[in-house]
Amino acid sequence: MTRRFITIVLFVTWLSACASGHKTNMPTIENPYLQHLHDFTHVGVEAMQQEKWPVAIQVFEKALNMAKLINEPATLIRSWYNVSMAYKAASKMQKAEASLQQTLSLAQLHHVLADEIRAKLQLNLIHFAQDRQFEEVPALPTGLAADIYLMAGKLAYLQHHEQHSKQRYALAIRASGEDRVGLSSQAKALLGLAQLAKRETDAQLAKNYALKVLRICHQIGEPRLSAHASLLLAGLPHGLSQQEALDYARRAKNIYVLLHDKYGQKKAEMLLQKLIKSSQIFR
Amino acid sequence: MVDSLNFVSSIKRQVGWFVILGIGVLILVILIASMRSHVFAKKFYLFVAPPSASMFYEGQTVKFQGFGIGNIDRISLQDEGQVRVSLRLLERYRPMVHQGAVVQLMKEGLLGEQILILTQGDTSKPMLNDGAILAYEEEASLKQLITSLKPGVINANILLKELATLSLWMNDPYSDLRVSMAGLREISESVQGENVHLAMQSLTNTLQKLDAIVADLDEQKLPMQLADTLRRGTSILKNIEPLSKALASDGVETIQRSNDLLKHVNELSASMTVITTDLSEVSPELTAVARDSRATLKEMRALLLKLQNTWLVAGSSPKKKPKKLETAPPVLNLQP
Repeated sequence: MTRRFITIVLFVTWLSACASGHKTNMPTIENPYLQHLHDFTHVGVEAMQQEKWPVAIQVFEKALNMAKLINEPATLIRSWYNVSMAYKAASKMQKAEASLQQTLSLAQLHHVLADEIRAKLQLNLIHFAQDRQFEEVPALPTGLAADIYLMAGKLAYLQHHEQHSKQRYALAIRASGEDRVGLSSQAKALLGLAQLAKRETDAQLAKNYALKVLRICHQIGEPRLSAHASLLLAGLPHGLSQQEALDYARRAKNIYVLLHDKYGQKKAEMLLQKLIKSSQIFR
Repeated sequence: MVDSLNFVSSIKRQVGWFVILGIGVLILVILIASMRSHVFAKKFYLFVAPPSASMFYEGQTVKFQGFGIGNIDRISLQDEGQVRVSLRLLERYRPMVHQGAVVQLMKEGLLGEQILILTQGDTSKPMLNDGAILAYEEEASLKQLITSLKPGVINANILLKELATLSLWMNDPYSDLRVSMAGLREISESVQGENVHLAMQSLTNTLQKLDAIVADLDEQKLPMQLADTLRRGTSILKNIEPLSKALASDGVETIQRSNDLLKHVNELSASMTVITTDLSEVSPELTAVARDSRATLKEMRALLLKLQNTWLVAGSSPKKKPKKLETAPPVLNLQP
């Protein structure tokens, strides 16, 4: 009995020693192309955040070349998707669509569901703007990244599926982290919810969401989003005083001017004129 | 009667021998102790004039090449208000100490007391005379290092923009700078717990190479402003060496401070990324230059992290997280 006990104790000790004492002196080997891929992608994402589209295209194309050299499906698919986003942001829709088609076919071939959904949602957003036929998007599973829920929320909003849109924006907020990218996603989802509330004529709720967006923008610095939120606040039928609405409209206009956003500037100016007129009538 | 007298005298003899033996042992012990503590050894005196006496005390050990060669004999305040520390050192070490020797105040080990370190000086020069006054050097404190890094961080933008002009020279794969950067890569690879010392050697070699580059700048006929910029860059990298040494001597309390430094390195690295995108607009070739600089900072950061994780805190290498490829933010028209 004692002998058996000792044998067990020795065996357990040996096992734990093996488990805890195993150290490898093998050097870490890294694929230099993978390192370059990460570097280029990081710079590309930064450029996208700073709205430097030509730089983002250039850097994401380099990243794509690296991904081709690495010859690994997951990185290749993601690189195609990244470059497509840069093209889309730069309004090069044909190239964006071609890159998204590449993303889609590769994602389907290698069963990368997240990137397949990303590609389909983006293609649908492009097709919606061009009044074209939609791609069939698979049902969204749980645990996806925030950007996917954001796109799905936007698409549902455009298709007037308000409930779906709300749910997806809520999921986007839940899936967002607390870092800069996460907060940016949260702000976008909150702006989407504010637009939904405005559409449903709940001005107070829209105001609350928009103010939250402004708070996040103040924290992370997203001037375009901040302008959108200010414009939305200025355009609310009630919940703000005339003076406050004018102030928000002016602030939105100033940002659009600085960002050379002609369309946004025009919208802000039109709203500003409307508000000034109504304030004169009120007097 | 005779027997009893014999007995008494024998006892007396025994007691006598016992006392003599005891005294003999005592003298021997005193002799050995005095020999070991160099009480009778010949001494010589050196003086040092530190800015303050607050870190010194009488009897404080003075070491030379790791050996205790004496101690502080006296600390006095001169008429002019200057502090004078008198070092009493063993004469037999005098031939080893040459002119140009300096005295440094250092901490012995992680939790040890502070000791004085006497350097050898310039061996080509004559040995020191008795009563010579030595220069005093303070070990660079981390606070000073971090303070000196701050301007580096602030100047990062200027630094990088000017680095862009240097691109042609730097892009040469066989240039000294490229070789030095490769040296930094070697460092971050070699830091694995116990071989911190080796990493330090490697770092020193790299810094020497960078020094050589800076020395050659005039020959490269680069504009003065660019030369200054590179010097500034070199000084940022140089700060890492004393930091590492300070990490070795200051121990656990340093970790928080090295976190601060790490934060600075991260900030510099982040600004490097922003500049990289700016540079790309100017010329596509320049991106590679800025990326290389960013990579160097990344390696500095890795070095700091490894020093923290492997050696003082955990004693094991940091857990490697699988790197996920970043995703571009979705492009959505959110304008109301």
